[in-house]
Amino acid sequence: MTRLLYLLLSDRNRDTVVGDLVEERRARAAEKGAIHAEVWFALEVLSFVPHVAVSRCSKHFVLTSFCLFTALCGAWLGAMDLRLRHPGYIGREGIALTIVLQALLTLSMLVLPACVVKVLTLAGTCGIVWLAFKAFNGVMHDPHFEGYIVLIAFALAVQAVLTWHVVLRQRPTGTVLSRTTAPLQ
Amino acid sequence: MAELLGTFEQIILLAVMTLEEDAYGRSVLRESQASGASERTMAAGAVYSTLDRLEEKGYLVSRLEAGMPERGGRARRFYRLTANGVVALNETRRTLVRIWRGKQRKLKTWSPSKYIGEA
Repeated sequence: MTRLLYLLLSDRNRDTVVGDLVEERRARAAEKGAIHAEVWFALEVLSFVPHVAVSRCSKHFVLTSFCLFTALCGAWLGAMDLRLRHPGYIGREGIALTIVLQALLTLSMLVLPACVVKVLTLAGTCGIVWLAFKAFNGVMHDPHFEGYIVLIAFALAVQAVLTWHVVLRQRPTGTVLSRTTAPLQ
Repeated sequence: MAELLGTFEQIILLAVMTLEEDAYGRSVLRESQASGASERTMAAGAVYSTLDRLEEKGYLVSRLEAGMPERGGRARRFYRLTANGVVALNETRRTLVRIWRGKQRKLKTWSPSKYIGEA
């Protein structure tokens, strides 16, 4: 939970907020018992999630918008294929699921920039770039032009580029786990 | 003219003002809840993010103090109300008083059911 809190907080507030919560957890543990204190601590940490999610997603508004768009497209493609059940729909369901999962993974990475999540997200970008290329190539060689596929392929490619841009600009999270006291102002 | 403050921002600024030199994240949360300003339990995340936002706006300033052993040596951030914060609080209060002037009596006697079906 402390590690989750570290990931949720900005560099500026990391030590001070965790310090406040740790101090109160200790006081509660002495007063009401360890289990009560741990449950309280977990709930307090979780209370940061919605605020951090809104703040970080609005900070990366363009990437968030592309993720929401591709997630909606993926869900729509999946629902349509499931309803129509044309030959080979199982494979296309997998593609739709991949698109949705990658969008959700990218949004999770924005909220919780843990190393594992970043690596998975970057690996996922390779998958969506490949899907975008495959879709674009398929449309170009198909006599029946499907404009919406080109649009989704373009959105996936932009999402991948923006994801790399955001990850490369983020500071490594490993350094923030040290318990150093910030300099006095 | 200072920006008008939201209800939660007012609660936090007033808590910082009340606590004077002892205003840090948890004490602000406790004071805000104790003041009875909100009937619901306040989320710690909301309080800390509001403190940050108010500091960015220049209504609060903060200083760090060295951490105690019970905090694992982590620093504590204390907040103080600035002159801009006082202006914003006064401005907001004046605006609310102006908006409410003469409306309170009407609200007391207001009966929505009286107007149902008149349109």
